[in-house]
Amino acid sequence: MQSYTERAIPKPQRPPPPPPPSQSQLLTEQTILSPQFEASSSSSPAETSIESINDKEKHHPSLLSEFKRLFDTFNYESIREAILDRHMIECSFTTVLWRIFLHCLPRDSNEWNEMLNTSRINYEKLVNQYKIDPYKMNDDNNDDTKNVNHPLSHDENSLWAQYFADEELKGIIIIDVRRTYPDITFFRDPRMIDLQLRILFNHSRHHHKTIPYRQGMHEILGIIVYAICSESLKINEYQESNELMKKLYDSQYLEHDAYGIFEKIMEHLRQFYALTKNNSNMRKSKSVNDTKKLIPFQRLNHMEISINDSATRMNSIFERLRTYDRLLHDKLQEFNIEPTVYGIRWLRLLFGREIPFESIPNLWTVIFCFDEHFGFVDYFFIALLIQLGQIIGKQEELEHTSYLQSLMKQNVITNIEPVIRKALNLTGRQIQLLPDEPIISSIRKTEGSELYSIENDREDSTRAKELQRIPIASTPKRKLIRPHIADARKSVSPPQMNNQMEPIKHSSSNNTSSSEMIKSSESYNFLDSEMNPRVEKTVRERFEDNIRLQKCCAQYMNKFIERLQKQVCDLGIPNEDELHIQLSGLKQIATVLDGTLTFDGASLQTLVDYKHKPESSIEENNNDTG
Amino acid sequence: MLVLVLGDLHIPYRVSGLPQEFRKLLTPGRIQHILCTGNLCTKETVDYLKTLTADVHIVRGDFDDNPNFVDQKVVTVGQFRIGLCHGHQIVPWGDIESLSMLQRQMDVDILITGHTHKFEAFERDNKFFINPGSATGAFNALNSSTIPSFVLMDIQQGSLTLYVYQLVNEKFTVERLEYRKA
Repeated sequence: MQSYTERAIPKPQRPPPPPPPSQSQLLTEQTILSPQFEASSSSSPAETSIESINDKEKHHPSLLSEFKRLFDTFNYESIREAILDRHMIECSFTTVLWRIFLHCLPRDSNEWNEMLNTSRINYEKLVNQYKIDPYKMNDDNNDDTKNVNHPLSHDENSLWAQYFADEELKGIIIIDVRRTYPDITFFRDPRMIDLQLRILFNHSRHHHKTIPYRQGMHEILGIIVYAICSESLKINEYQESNELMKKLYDSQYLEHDAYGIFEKIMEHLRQFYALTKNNSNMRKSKSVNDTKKLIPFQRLNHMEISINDSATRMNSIFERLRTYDRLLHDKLQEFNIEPTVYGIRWLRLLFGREIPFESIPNLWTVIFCFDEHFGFVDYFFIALLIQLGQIIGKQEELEHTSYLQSLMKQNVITNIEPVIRKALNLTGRQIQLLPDEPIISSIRKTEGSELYSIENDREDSTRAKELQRIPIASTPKRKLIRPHIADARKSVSPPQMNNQMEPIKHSSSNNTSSSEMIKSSESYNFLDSEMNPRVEKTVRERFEDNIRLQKCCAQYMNKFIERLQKQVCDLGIPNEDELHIQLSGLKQIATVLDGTLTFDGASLQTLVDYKHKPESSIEENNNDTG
Repeated sequence: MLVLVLGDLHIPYRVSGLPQEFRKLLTPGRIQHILCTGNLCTKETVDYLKTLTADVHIVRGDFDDNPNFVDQKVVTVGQFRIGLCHGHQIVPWGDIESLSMLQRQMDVDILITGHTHKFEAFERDNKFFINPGSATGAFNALNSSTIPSFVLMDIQQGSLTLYVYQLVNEKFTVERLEYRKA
C-alpha cells in the first residue's frame, strides 16, 4: 500500500475500505480494468508488445521501461496510430502525451529540459505581473495631488481599481472552484483550491480580452490538475524514476505545467465559451450581413436564430447525425430538441460530465492526438448521441420531456471504450467494434448509473427474462455470475429468491457455486467503481444479501442432508455410523451457515478426525451406547 | 481595510445632497466601515450610507432627527482604537486642548470629531485627531463658506494612511497623509 509522507502535493487521507478515488487508485484501477477490455475485444494480431507491457504493469510497474520506450525516441506517428487503433488505451504518462500533442513540449525529448524551464519561468513572470499590491505604489509616489493613487478611484490606470476588480474576479472563480467535483476529497484540499484559483485567475487576466473566465473552465482545469498530481505522486514515489521523469513531474512546478496544458486546451475551447450574441434583433429583421452567416437549409427555430460559433458547430454536427442514425435524428427533430441544449455542456466540458471520471483522461488523449483542431470532438459527439439514443430507446415512455431529461442526465455511460471505437469508426478508421451485448449489460451491472435506477422501476419478471437472455455459454463464467449478484443485491422479498435460484441452478455446480459466488462478489467489490457515492449503502446491502444467501444455502443443504440420511437409513449398510457422523458434520456446517450456531472449528475438526480411525470410532460408539 | 469618515451633511435642511463628484467616487464593494460624525440628518441619508457598506457607525449630532444615536462611540479597527463624537458637546468648538481631554477620557488612539465643518488632521501627544469636515459643504454657524470634504482611512497593521478628498472648483483633490502608531 501507499506510504504517506508529507509533501507539497496533498494526499487525500482516506479510510482504508472503501477508499474514495485517491491519486494512486486512479492508475491501478485503470490497469486492472484494461485487461478486461482487451479480453473482450477480439484480439488484434500484431500489437501484443504494448498490451503485454500493460499487463506486466499490473504486476510489476516498470514505469521506467515504459517511459523509455515511449519517449526516448518519440515516434509520433506510431504512438498516435497506437492510440487511435486502441492498442494503447492506458498510459501512465498521459499528461506528458497531452503536452506533446498540445505542443507544450516538443517531440524530441532532449529539448524538454529547456522547454520546461522556459515555460515555468514564463508562468512565474505572469504570476508576478498580475499580483497587485496597491501599497507598493505608495512608496514610489510623490505628493503630487493630481497623481495620488487613491482607493476610490475609478480611473482605468489606477492600481486600486484594478485591485478591486481582481478581488471581484477571484470571488467569482473561487465559488466555482469550491464546487468542482464535490465527491472527490482531493479537490477539497485548500492548497489545491488555491492552486486552481491562481491558475484560473492568471489565465483569465492574461486572456481577458479573448477568453474571460466562464463557468465550466474550472472543471476542465480540475481534471488536468487531478491527472498531473496523481501521476506526479506515482512518479515521485517510484524509486527508479530517471532525471527526466522527475523533472517532468516536479512537484514544485505542478501549477506551472498545469497552466501550460490548460492554456492550450482553452485556445481550442474558446469557441464554445464565446458569449452568445444578442438574438433579439434577429427576430425583427434579417440584415444583409447576417444572411451570410446562415447555413443554407438550416433548421430555423421559430424562437430565435443563434449565430454564434458553438451553435453553428453543433447544428452542423446534428446534420451529420442524419447520415448515421436517421431515426434518432428525426426523433430529435420531432421533439424539437435543439442540439445546443445538451450539446453546450458536452462541448464546454469536453464531455467531462457525460462519462465516468476515470475515463476522461483516455478520451482526452484520443481527442488531442487525433488532429490539431479537436476534430474528434465532432465524431465523439455523434457516437455519444447514437449511444444515448440506443439506451433511451429501450425505455418504455418516450415523451418529449422525459427524452430531453434522459439526454441531459449525467454519467449515463459507464463504459466509453465502445463509444470511442464507434467514433473512430465514424472517422473512417477500421477499428474492431466491441460487441453490443457487453455495453448494455455493463450499463445495467454497475450501480451508480442512473439507468439502473430506471430499470428498477420495471417489473421483476422482465428483469428475470433479461437475465435469461444473456447467453450463458459464450461469456466467461465470471461475467455470468456478476449479473446474478447484481440482482441478488437488489432483491428484497423472499419470493424473488426463488426466481433467482433457478438461473443459479443453470450454472454448473450448486453447492460449490455459493462459495464461488461469494468469492466473485468480493472480487466484484474490488472492481466496483469507487466513484459511487452510495458505497456504504451497497456494502450493507451486499452484506445483507450475503447473509440471506447463506441462509438459503443452509436451507438447501439441510434438505439434501435429510434426504441423504433417509436414504442411508433405508439402505441399511454396515458402516452407516460413519456415514451418520459425516452427515452430522454437514448438518453442523449447515446450521452455522444458517446463523443459529456459531462456528466451532474444534468440534468440526474432531468430526473430521473420526473419519481417519474408523474402527476405533465404532468401538467408542459402541462403548457410548453400551 | 478601508474606512470612510464623513459627517455634517445636513441633508435636506441646509443642502440638497452630496456633490456629484463625491457620489461618483463612493461605490459599494470597496469600503468596509463607515464612521459618521453626525448631523446627517434624516433616515434617507442613513439608508444611503448603508448601501455602501453594512457596517455603519453614527453618533448623534445636534441637528439629527433620530434621537437614539449615542453621543460617543469607540470602534476598534485593526490595532487602532477609534473614538467618534460629534463635537457640539465640546466647548469651545474644535479646541485642541478640549479635544485632547476627550481623547484621554475615551482612551483612544484616533479621535474623530466634526461640527466645525472644517477639515483637520493632526497628531498630538502621539495620538491622531481627525475632523472630516462637511461632506456636502453645508454652512456653519460661524463660517458660511465651507469646502466639501471627507476622509478615507486605510488601516494596515500598525500604520494608517489618510486620503483626504476635497472638492475645490468643481473638481475633487486627494491628499495623502500617513500616521504610524507608536
